[in-house]
Amino acid sequence: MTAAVKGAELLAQMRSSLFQGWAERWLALYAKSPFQFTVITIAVVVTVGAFLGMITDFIIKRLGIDLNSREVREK
Amino acid sequence: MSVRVGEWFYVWMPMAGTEIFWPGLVILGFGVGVIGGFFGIGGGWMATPGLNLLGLPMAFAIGTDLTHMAGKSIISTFRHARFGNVDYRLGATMVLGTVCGFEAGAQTVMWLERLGKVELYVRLAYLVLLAAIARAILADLRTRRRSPTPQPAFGPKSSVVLAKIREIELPPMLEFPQAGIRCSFWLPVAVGLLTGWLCGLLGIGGGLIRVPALIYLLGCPTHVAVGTDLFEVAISGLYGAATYTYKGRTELVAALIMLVGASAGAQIGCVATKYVHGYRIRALLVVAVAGCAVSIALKLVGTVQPRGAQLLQSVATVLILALVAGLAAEILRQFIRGVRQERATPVGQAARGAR
Repeated sequence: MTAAVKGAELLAQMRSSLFQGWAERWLALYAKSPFQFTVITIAVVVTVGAFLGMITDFIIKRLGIDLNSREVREK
Repeated sequence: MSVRVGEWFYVWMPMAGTEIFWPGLVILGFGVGVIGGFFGIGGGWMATPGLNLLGLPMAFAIGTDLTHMAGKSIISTFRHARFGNVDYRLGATMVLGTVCGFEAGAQTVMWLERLGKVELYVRLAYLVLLAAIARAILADLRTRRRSPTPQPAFGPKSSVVLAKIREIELPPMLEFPQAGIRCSFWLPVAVGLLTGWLCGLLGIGGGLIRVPALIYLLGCPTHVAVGTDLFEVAISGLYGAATYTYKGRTELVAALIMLVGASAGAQIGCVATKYVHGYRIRALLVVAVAGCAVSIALKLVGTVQPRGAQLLQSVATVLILALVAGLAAEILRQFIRGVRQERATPVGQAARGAR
């Protein structure tokens, strides 16, 4: 267990030496708190998903497609 | 200082420690988004091999796929909800069974792993299941093709057993107005439990199993089955994404780039269901299920016969990617045709004139 944690720290340090800036801070966050890292990742994905959904909704409406109703074409 | 040609097309993945061709991520996200939005599936069986092929290690491919799947399913669920395709009451009832079933499936995998038989048995289970689904849908399509009169929106007419299961009066009885069904509370819970167990066992979002189960076991109309399943995929996707992220096996940068393509693809797939009969959706679903089954059969042969396993693995991956491209192109064709028809109608012309 201890070896695994030390290994992960070593890996994070090795990778962070390759680049600077946001990526370094991102890796440091995971090394510091995996829970916080998980919460932020999920929040970002949900927010970006909802935002992109709104943008594509707007574009599709501009194409003249009715997005509020549909005739059920079941057979 | 030398600059690599096309360096701009590569982006660094900090967690996996590798560089990825980002336009490939956008294209993969778009293709899987179109198919996912159309069939109501997450598409883990398509995106994971694609991500692996682009250069992400397998564990990162699974984690990243689950994360992008969660974001994409949220977009698709909202879109289907606007069309009235999501029965939240049914979805919430099923979630109880899905979560318990998922954990039970994961525990079964752990047990098989201890026996050293996980690869073989999981692939065999997958193959049997997909063959059974393909057979049920094909039988249904054949019945409908032969019948001169329009058929009810759900399940095979001939299946007395399924009709009897739907009629079991075990309290509490619930009404699901959006799906237009009334059944025992325990039936959707049991469906969730069974499909959740298979999802946990096979490591997938479960749409490929849950959509036919909703249609044939619960009697949902195809469109409501697709929308309600996406609601389930979003929840199980978020659960899976959180688990993999905590273990450091999610590449957020790749998931976000895929989401850009997936957001457009998912909308197109969802809107395309407006223009296609439920019958045709099921016919295309058979193609997806059969292609997936062939791909798994190839991998299974590789497990039993290690000689040539690498070649079979490559053929299976190429087959999956060709299937994604072919199905996405067909759905895109249906979408364009439907949009042209809608824009030509007086309602469509009025909508454009009002802008």
